[in-house]
Amino acid sequence: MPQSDTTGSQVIRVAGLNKVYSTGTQALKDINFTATAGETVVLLGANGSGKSTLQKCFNRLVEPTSGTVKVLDTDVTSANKQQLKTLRRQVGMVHQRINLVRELSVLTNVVHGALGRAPSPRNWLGATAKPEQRDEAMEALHRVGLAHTAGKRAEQLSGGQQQRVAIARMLMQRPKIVLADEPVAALDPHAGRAVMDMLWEITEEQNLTLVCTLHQLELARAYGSRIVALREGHLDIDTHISQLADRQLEGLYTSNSTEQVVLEGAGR
Amino acid sequence: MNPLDATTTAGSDIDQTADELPPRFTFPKWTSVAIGLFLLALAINGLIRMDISWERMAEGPANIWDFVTGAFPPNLERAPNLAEAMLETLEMALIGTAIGVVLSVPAAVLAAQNTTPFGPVGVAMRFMLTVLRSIPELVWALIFVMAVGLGPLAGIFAIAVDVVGFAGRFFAERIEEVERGPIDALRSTGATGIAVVASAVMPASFASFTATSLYCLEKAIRGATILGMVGAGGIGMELTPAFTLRQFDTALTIILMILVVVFLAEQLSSLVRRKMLGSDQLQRAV
Repeated sequence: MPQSDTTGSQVIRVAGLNKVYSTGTQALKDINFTATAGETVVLLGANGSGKSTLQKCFNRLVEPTSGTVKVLDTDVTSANKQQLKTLRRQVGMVHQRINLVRELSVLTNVVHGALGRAPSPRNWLGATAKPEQRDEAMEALHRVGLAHTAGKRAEQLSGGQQQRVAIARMLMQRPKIVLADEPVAALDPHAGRAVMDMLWEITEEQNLTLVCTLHQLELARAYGSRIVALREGHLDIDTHISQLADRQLEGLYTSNSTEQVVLEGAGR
Repeated sequence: MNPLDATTTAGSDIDQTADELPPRFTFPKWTSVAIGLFLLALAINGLIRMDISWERMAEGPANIWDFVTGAFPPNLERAPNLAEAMLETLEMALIGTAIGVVLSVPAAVLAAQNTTPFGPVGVAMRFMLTVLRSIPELVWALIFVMAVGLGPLAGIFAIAVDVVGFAGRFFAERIEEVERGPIDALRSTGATGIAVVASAVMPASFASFTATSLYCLEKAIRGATILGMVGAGGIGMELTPAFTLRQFDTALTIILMILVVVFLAEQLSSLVRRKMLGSDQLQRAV
């Protein structure tokens, strides 16, 4: 039975989390992690380190194997279908592969953000959506500077613009937590910066908790404050960016553990 | 020393079998021989059992010549009546396809492995679609003539069932190919399963569904022309008496009408497909 919890302002609490895929790959090993309301966390790690899996465990898009995950007072691991839907409505996602429905209009894609809280079949399409949802979607598009593209098909937009539409869809959801999974990995550096600026601005002005996975170190340095790093499924680092040496960050992408890298650095 | 000699010598020293030229022919596996012999025996047995009459076969060319001379010029006297029957055929095909396509969409959603609400429902639905597809349209027509009597209604039902069997399978396969990303994105907003199917799966499948439906219509028009032969309405009901009464000129008129209508249906279907895919996609790529 999911338990209600009001301790402090921790909105994400993960304890002893393990994930083993059906192929036998252990993606997460005994992860312990918390995030407080309004906090921004950058999850770092090489490909296959488990950062996306960890993020997907927060709203059970990936089923944890063992351990507990509590998000917004909901015990995610034991939540039933309805409780999970309620939780998912409050957790916005920005995906690496953008994941808009390319064949539909920009407006319809943004309206889709409201499907969790306004499940009327009218909201399946922008053309039939209720006036309040259409207005709200236009407002979200204004916020990301793309109101002029509302009538275009999503596939007609550039990658950077599509990711901004995905942010507008996330806004439409009115989330409390935002999970961004390598949101700029598919974009050129200029468009990537614009998307990162927008994501950080929006989450800050709305006091949202943001957990963003990244693999570009320069972006982590530019935007990160709290850095949580994973290596081969283990939580390797959890500290403020200012406490991290460049060698430690770069060490995440080598076969040596961070401790070894630090020791080697000290020995020189 | 001749370099060729050196190679030959070296080759024979190391491993002669590895260097051997592969034979032009290898004897097939005994299972292939057994299957081949079985099929040959079946065919020979058939020829013996069917007691094929060589005299009748020899008469064939003369009979065909009779048909050709009797058919020209085509008899246009009954053209208005035949046109009406042809229109009925077209309408049967159109209505039957429309019913079939509409029913195929929910059937495909239930059958596709990524959208079925419950595994066994998917298996049952796929089995049902296989059954519908396996029974020929003409047999369905016989069943519906028995059920609802002679006329176009039986034809419409036969076409609809055939379309469900065919389109249901292709729609389900298209649904299974839909990208996972947009589906996950909508699931993560807390949207219901039906909303995810309607908002992410259907739009991504729409173009493919339209192309398949057009092909079904084309196929239904071809099929509907002969359903009348078993009493299920349309132009086919005119074709059988024309042959049995040896009115070959009328039969040729019917055949020409079928030819024109099927050709036009194919052209229309390609035109819509071209419009849908866009000119870029259809330009020579290789």
